[in-house]
Amino acid sequence: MRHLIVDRIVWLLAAAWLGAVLLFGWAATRQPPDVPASAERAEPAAGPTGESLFGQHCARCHTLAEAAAGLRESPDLEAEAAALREFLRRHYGPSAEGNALIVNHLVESLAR
Amino acid sequence: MAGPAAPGSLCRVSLLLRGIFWFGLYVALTLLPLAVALWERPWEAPRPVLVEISVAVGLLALPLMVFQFALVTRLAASSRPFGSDALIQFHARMGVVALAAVLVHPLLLAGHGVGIAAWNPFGGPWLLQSGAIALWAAVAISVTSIFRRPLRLGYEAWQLLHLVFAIVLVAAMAAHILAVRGYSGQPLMHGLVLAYSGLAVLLLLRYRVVRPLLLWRRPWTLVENRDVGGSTRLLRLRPVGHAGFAFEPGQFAWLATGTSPLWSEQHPISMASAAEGEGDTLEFGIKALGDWSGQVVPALQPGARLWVDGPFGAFTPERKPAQGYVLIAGGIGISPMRSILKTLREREDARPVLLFYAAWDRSRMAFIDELEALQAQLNFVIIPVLESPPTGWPGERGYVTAEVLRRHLPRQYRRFQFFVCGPVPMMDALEKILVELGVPAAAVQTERFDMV
Repeated sequence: MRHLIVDRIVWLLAAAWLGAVLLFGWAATRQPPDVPASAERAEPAAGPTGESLFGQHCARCHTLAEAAAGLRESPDLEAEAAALREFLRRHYGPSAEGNALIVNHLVESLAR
Repeated sequence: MAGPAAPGSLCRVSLLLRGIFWFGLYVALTLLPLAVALWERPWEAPRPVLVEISVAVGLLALPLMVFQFALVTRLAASSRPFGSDALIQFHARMGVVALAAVLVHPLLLAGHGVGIAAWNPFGGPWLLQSGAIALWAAVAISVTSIFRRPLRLGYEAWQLLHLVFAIVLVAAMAAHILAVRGYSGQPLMHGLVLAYSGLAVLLLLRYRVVRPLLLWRRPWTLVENRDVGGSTRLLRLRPVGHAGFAFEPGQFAWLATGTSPLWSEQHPISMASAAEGEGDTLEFGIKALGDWSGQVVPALQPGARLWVDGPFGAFTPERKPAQGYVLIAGGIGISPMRSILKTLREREDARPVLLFYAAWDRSRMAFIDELEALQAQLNFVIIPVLESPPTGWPGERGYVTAEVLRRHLPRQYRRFQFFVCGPVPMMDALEKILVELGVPAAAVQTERFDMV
């Protein structure tokens, strides 16, 4: 009755993979133990720039002009920038600080 | 009556170890992308957990789909421990798991800016378009497989569609993962995705080109094609320019007729001849059930060229010790039983064998005269079970039920091996009945060729 054994193995594997996926979710969102929270917060200023973060997270699908179009056309730049930061948060941007850097980079691009 | 000492116990251990190895390798390789992703972890700060879970599901889906090829492309080394029918069933179940993974991946991203537009395979950035193509290819594979009969899709057309969709799916999946350039932007993951894609290509080339070419160089010729009753033809083949192959009684091979195995469809057919004592010839029992078996096979003339890819399958008494055998056959399920019986006769095996042979009436029982003659040469009894017996029939009638089995099984039947081959409803029913009768589940072997 190998087909019954096969069915059981499939259920077991599916459960194991579900566990592996959840474990991955937990492990990938865990702060590395050797990075203090303060160092993490300081990282965007010391490391990546808005331009590099935009290149890493946004440029695959959006040009700079496209991404900044909303800011350019909005009568209230501050409100639009806040909305963009919120969008990036939902759109799995790098971090709150990283999102702010990206938005600043877009705002700066308007002046060029 | 004790039989020969457990034949091939070393072989059984070797098969078990090989099974553990291949299964372990399968699990390890499906999880490898997740381990590599965690190892390389390119993000400066953690991303939302649903995003990471979605990515993990996507990274799991790729190896799942790639190894779907490995399960059904007749890799003898990996199929021998499990049996090809078990691998095909595993392939079908895993297809559903892989489809679930492919669907869950974008759904989990829906709350993170990846909307319904990402499901459009005809437009948008390549990053999203490739993912959408993979998704719809997975849906198409599942729909055409699960609903092949309601869709009135012929087996050959389905096989072609299945292959084309599978190629599109794996290619689009790999393209999508590489286009995301998240985890796959890292060198090790990038290489791993390319390696898995390359493996899929190699498996496909081996299955569709290399293996048929090798088969082409090892043709067989038809020696005899005769009617053996029950709308069944017996084909007797002899190898041409090579030594043929050894097999275990009850196994099957893929048979191709036509001008070349490169483009001829292949059919899984059980060997009906003894595994020993018949030289290098092979016999196959083929019942007229469709276009190929009903029209092409009866028209084959002696001298015709055929190609035989085998042996495959684990429906064989060779792998487990037994004090006796109970064979239960319906329809063309008698073919592997004939192979088992003739092999036992060649070995002068003295263990008891019972054959419950179910059919509508005697005229539909293939090989019946020959099997009855075997009763004088083996410790063997046939119990015909007829649905439409003639008037005055003294034997069993109806189906092979628990009562029929109880009337004939010897007292020590729980130490026997049971082999069941026939229509799927019959096999399903008998599996339940045998367990109810106290037969250990591990002692019940079935052979299922109902692929889709």
